[in-house]
Amino acid sequence: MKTDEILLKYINSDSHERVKGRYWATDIYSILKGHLKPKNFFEKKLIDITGVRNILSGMAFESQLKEVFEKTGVDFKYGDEIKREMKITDEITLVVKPDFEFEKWVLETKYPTKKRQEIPEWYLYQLEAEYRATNKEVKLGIFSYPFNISYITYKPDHKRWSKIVETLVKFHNKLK
Amino acid sequence: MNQSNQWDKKFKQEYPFMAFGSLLNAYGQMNQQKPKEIKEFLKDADSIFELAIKLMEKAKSNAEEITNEENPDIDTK
Repeated sequence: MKTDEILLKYINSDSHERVKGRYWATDIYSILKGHLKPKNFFEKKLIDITGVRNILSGMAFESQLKEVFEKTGVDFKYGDEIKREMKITDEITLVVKPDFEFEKWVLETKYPTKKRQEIPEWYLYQLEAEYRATNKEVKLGIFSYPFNISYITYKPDHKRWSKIVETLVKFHNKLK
Repeated sequence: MNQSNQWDKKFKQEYPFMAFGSLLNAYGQMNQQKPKEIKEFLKDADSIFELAIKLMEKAKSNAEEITNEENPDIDTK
C-alpha cells in the first residue's frame, strides 16, 4: 500500500457508530449548520486525504503533549475516564470528552490550518458543551510548529447552551 | 524567546508578494494598450516591488499585537 492509502485507511476505519439519541459534542456545529442532516446521520462519510492529514497532525501533537505531561509528572486525566454523558432529555444524551482534564480546568486542543487569535465559531459549541459537562473552566489550546501551545479561555454563554439544547432536540425529532 | 511559528515564517516568506500582485495588476490596467519597453517595465516593476514591501511592513506593524497571551499554571503530582 502507498502511504496515502495507509493514512486514509487508518482514519476512515476508526469512527464511532452513530446511534439515535446519542450525539457527540464535536457534531453540534455540523448539526447546527445543516452539514450533518437527519437523512445522512447514519451514513459513514469518508474523509479525504487532506482531511486525514489535518486530523493526523492534530492527533500527533495531542499525543506528544500527553507524553510530555506523563513524563513530567503533570497531574491530569485523559481519554475515556474524562468522558461525560449528559442527559439532555429522556431520549437525548450528549457525549462530551475534552482532551485533557486538570483539577480546576479542562483543555481542548486543536491544530488549525490557519493562525487563530480568537476562538473560531466552529469550536464554540464544543467548548460550551465541555463547560456544561465538567463545570470547569475550559481552555482552547492551539498547537503550532515548532512545538508550542497557545491558550485561549472560553467564556461560557447560556444562550449558546440553550441553542445547543434546542438544536439537538429539533434534530432528534427529525431523525427517523 | 523566539516564539515564531510556521504561520509567522510563512508570512515572512510571502508578505512581499501579497501586495505586489495587486499592484502589478493595477499597473497593467493603467497601462493597457500603451507600448512599454521591457527595460521600462522591469524598472517600474522593481519600484512596485519596493512599494509593496513598504505597504506590507506598514500593515504588519499596524496589526494588533497579542499582549495578553495566556500562560496557565499546570499542576504536577
